[in-house]
Amino acid sequence: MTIAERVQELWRFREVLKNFVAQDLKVKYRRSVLGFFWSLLNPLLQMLVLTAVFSLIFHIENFTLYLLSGLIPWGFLAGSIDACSMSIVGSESMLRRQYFPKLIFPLAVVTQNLITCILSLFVLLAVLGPFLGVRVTAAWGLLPLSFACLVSVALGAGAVLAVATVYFRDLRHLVSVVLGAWFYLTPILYPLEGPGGRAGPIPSEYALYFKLNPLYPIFEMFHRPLYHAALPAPTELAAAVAVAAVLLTAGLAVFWRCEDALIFAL
Amino acid sequence: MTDHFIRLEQVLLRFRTHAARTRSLKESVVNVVMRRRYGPPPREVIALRDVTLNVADGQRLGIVGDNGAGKTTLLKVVSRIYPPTAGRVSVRGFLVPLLEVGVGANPELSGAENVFLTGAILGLPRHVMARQLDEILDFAELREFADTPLKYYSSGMAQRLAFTVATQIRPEILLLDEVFSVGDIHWIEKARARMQALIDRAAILVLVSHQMDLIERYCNRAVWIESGRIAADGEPAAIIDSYRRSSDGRA
Repeated sequence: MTIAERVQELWRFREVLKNFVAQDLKVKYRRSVLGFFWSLLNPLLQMLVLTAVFSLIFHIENFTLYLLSGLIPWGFLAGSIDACSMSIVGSESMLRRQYFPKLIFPLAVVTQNLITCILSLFVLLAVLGPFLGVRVTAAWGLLPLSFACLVSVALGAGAVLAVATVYFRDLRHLVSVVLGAWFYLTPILYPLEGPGGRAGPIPSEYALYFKLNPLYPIFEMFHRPLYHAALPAPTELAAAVAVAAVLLTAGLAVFWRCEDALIFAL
Repeated sequence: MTDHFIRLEQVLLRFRTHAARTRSLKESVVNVVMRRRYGPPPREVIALRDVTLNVADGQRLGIVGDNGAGKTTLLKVVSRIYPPTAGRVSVRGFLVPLLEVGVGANPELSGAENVFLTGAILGLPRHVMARQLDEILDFAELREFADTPLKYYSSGMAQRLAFTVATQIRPEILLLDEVFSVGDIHWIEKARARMQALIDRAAILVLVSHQMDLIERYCNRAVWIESGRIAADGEPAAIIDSYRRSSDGRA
């Protein structure tokens, strides 16, 4: 099938996708008194704890806002990749009874996580904004592109892991370990440089290595507009778009190449 | 009702079966490091070979054959669940495979929400299912349990709901594996009438069953599958007769 045919087929299955997403959201928040507020409370409490601990170590201006602008996109990325890796294996019984374009399983996971992420980011910004001195600036116009890059990374990596987990069922444990390590390697708990380009907690001779992390430019797409109220440097922006494009293209290419064989390996 | 068809041209389907079902990364890495091969190499099984079949409008095709001959596999190839290793499969028409009851049921969701989910999976958007929801709940006799999560249903109730949703949809091409109906006597009678209506509405029926009387009752053409090949194709009475004689000969 050509890419156009695959996209058309996914479009024909949009009702299924909508149902999967709605069902995931309903099941997640059903019969919990706080419902959606759990997805706010969780990062909120996490931020409270992290602020209490790390503001003592790093002495960063407005540390809570810095945390918020990286922690919520990270929650989306890690949550999506983790759930994507089980998305095909977990749909085995459905796949044995009915034809699906398999991409809708990772796509449903990413969509559901994206909805939760966008809602919690903006609700937290609105609620905490007055205390943290959040200003809506023109730089926020970058955010749709930031989310597009983040989603591409999540879907690209998630699609590959969804396929790989079919063949290696224990991959899931490795995924959570790698994600855990990657969280600390990516400047989310700590900034690479202080506000106004002053030196950050990482010595400048090591900062270069941190910038080689492909997720670094992706998270700058959130840190810059939300924390620094500025746009990323053109090279950073180009790096973020390039990382997103490469991961998405490679992920989909691998996924579509393997898609047909999956049913025989389940 | 014109121009629906199922066409299979020289379809070959090859499976690779692994002796050990579970493969893990740990095991694979250990095997590479220790330079050993673990377990027997994967075995290839040919499930269907050289299957050429044309089914046209108005045909009710029954498929007979021994267990493991490839009957259900053939339905799965027609419904695109299994992509063929070689050959071509083309289908025109809205096709619904009813291979097992309960596609996509989510135990955490209510009965009504499961109706929408199953409908979407079988190809119907939410607004279409919403119009038919009352009819479905009434037929399944589950109106007062519409908002109860499926996990609190008895197995009979869940079966009734799944059967009713699956048979509510009006496919142009219907693939049916055995006839699924479970429940008390009253329900079986009701289910049979509904299944008859579903079959009557479909332009093309493909039915897999071990019950020869069902094939004779519903079908106007039959195919006998043996070891993944089409052994005979023709009038149901004649095919059933030769299939029976061959089984008796071996018994």
